[in-house]
Amino acid sequence: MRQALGGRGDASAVLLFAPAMVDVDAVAEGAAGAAGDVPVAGCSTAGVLSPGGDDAVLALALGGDGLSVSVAAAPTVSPREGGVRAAASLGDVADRPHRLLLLFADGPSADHAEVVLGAYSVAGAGIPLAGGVAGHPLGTGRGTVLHGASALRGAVVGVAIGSDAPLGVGVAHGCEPLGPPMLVTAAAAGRVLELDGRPALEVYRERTGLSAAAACDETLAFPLARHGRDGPAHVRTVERDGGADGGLSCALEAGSLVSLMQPRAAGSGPDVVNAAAGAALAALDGDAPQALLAFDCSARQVVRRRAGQDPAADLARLGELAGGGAVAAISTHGEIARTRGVVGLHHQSLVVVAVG
Amino acid sequence: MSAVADWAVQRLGVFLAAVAEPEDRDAAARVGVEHAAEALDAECVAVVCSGRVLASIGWPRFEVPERALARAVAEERPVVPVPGAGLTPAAIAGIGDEDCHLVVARVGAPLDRDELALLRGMARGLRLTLRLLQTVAAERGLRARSERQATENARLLTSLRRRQQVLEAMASIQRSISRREPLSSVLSAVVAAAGDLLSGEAAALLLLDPEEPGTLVVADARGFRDNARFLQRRQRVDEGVTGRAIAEDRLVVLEDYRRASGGLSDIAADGVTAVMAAPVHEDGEPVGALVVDSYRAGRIYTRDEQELLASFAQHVSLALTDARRVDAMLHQALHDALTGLPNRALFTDRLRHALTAARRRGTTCGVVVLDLDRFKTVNDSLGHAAGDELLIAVAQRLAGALRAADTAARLGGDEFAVLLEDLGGVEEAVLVAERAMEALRAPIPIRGREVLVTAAAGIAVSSAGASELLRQADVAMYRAKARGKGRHAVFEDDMQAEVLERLELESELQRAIDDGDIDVHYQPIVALDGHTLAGFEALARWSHPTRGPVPPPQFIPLAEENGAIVALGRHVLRAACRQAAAWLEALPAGEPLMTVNLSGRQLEDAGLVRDVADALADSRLPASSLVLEITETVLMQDTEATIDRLRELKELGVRLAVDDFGTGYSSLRYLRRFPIDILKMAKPFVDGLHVDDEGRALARTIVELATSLRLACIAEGIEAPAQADVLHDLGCGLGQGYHFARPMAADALTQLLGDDDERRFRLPSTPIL
Repeated sequence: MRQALGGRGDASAVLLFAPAMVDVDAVAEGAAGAAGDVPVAGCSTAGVLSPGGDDAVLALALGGDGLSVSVAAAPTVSPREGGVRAAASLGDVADRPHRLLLLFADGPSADHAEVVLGAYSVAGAGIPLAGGVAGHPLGTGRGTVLHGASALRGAVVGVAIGSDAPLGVGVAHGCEPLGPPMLVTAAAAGRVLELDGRPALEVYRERTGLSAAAACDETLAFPLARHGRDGPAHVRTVERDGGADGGLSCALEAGSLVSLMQPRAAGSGPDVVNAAAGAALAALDGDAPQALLAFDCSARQVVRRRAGQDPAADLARLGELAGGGAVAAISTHGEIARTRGVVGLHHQSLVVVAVG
Repeated sequence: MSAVADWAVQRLGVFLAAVAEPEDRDAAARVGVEHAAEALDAECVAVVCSGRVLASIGWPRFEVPERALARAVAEERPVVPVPGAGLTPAAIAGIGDEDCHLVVARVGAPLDRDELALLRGMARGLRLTLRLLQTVAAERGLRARSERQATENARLLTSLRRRQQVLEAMASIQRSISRREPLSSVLSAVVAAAGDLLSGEAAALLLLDPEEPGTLVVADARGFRDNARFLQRRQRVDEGVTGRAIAEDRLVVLEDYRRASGGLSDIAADGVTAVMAAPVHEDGEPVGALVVDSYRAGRIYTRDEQELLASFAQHVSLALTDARRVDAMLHQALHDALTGLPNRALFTDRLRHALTAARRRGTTCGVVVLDLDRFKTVNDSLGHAAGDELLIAVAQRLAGALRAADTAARLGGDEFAVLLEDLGGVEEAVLVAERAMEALRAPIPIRGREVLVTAAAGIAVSSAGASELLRQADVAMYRAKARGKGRHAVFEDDMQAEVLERLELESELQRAIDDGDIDVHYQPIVALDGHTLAGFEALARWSHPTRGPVPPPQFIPLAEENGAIVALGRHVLRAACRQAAAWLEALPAGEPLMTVNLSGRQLEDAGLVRDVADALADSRLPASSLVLEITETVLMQDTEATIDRLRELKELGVRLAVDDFGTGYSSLRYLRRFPIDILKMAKPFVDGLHVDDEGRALARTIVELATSLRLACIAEGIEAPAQADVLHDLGCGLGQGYHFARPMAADALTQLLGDDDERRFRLPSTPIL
């Protein structure tokens, strides 16, 4: 924290990310103490990618001339309402020409799309939404969001950033469709029950060739992606589960046109960074960013490591793109990036926020 | 590509399912725009109806460009402002025949044909849904109205039920009052109903303590936290809400009891939060209050509730007044209206209870029956109002003479009774009787006159039944009466027979009178100068077929008591007149007098003058030959009626004599007032002539009185020649008695008068008087 604040008194807020395996409550409390009057917001992570490594606690101070930050938190008893209330912080930075809303959420994956939609209903199409779902190493408990001195569970935190300089958001995934698109013909909360009118699990196994005993990281390699106007845009992880209902654990709505995805064979690492960061930086009209903030899916990293790729190369590329700007990258369990349309929830994607 | 081909259809199906879920139009429209935005991957979607945005997404909540959207629906190439993107071409689909449109703006890429088809499909689906929801909303509105109506109905029903409960409670209370159920249970019912119908509050009725004026006692209470203690409560009449309600004679409400002034500290300490009190009345006078106390915080009494309490209070007033009336009626039924003393019914009842108690305690009870000796005379001569006054005075004197435990009663007419409880013996009863009689002895002032009253007292002491004891006292009273005025007698067993005998005699006398079986005997009246016959006194004689001769002192009072004396007197008068006429014819020179006794009852009889006139006319006896004797006591009544009657008799020409002069009050006043001709000196004066000088002096006084008043004087009961001589010496002109002749039948006397040898009287040559 002290490092982040650097003895400066013009910080408007501190973004705090702590690995889920540490005592996040203690971290939150300590950080808040160090921050003093400066609001603190963030979430737990499945690991800090940069700087510091998996075990590090990452603090990023936002502030200085031309930048305002406001933080709001709300419980996600109703995810939609949680998103709405988190977005209320935007009102505090309305005097800035460029605005962006960072959202940090935890809880069941089925809720996250609703949180984003709630925030969108307030923010509207003119304000990009970004952020991530609190991470934790796969199979280890659950994440928490951080707000002030508290580590909250079942909550959403909104960090509204208002800036005189442009703010950009980019998102990319390194997957490609495997076979023709399918229709989700039946779905429930967080579950795809049918694909093209057939039991989803059956179709999934058929398409992927995975057995019933497939390991978790094997299903991660075959997510589904919801189609947007330009094809499969929003990847959704398929988690291994018993499938007693013949369905898949995957957060997609009925009526969605989806594609079964697989990691692109080559160059997916730097390409993804280039695509995401490129899109984010594009908003800056060529100016160098003061900071790049990256939310990278822990599942994507698992898949990439399994494929023998090195995520470190991605970070290096991100550093290059940041120029002299700060880079903060964390590993999340869901990424938020709404730049067009109304859907802003992604899985197994990299979201980059460029602060101009 | 079947999935892509089916996508629009599938997506439409999902859309329709989603918009069908909400229950109102706005929510359906909101779900619609969100689904459309997701399905078409559009940034902004809106439902615009008649220039108003029903629902939208993509515009910040308070920055929806309503005018631009309204304009856009009418444009051929519509564009709408999209935040962060500026004016963006919009796809618009009409929603049915209403002025409603679904507007979609997607940045960067216009909708393709499939997407436009989906948009139209969504618009149609939304139309159906919105219409349906409008209908549902209308129905819901109706239902809501009907529910409101139902709620209102339920409220009315509750109100009616409550009203019904109130009416039932009131009716029940009214029934209780009209059935004259015990007052305490009526009051309890009112208190209970007041508590129940005023939301189950504590209720109490406080009434003035008749024993301790200025203090209220709790007649009934329920619902207080310590109800048993409250029931024992006593409070001053001028304190608290109750006191104010009574003092101001109006309903008083005190809310926020603990903080407001005018409450009682112990009531506040009990946790009471509000009090309401309504005064209750008895015969229009406030006598207490009906009170409800609430323990509920912030309790406010509504106007309805205040009226309800006032109504209950009125019912209490009704019950109290009615009960008092019933008490009064009972009192009236059991008491003599004139004197206020218990009547025969109550006396008998008390006697019965006293006897039961006496048996239990091993004591005895006594009854004294008092009968005024001359009440009828007073009543008839002074008028009924005076009679009433006399009875009241007697009652007061009687009550004053008794012990606290004794009960005096008026049994009827001039008959009084006294119940004596816990007697030690007969002597004690006699003492009470004597004290009562003594109390009556002093003259009683009635209308400016002093009336002397005596009473006969019958005393009975025994453990017999009430009726028997009363009857025994009655028998004793008759016995006492028979002994004379102002006497008393204690019941003895043989009196029973005596009374029966008397009753029998009375009925036989009546029969004898009716049958003309009463004889008239005559006793000569003689001039004391030398045994010259001056006249006769007619005397009734009753020769009973089995009993033999019944002495006049036995049957004359009987006839006077039962009124037979009037008929008897008429019979004697007519017989005497006939006989006098016969003797006058036989002895014309002396014009002998015929004296006939008139009882008081006869003098009161309106037909007396006519009877006398008829007797004279029928017998052709000169009125001057007839002397009517009236006792001193009758003259003492001194009523206008008596005077008028005597004057009428005098106008007939008859003469009047005062019988038994000297035994009464010998007032000179009546001698002057009445048209008296003759004084008849009573036998005791004649008896006393030879006893001492005083006796002679008394006789002389009477003779001189007669002389000075120019009245003739007849001495009665002369039994010895010396008496006749002395009387003659004193100046008394006439006399009668056994010394001269006993009374005898007319035939015998005629025979005596006609037998010259045996003649003991010299017939006068001229009238003596």
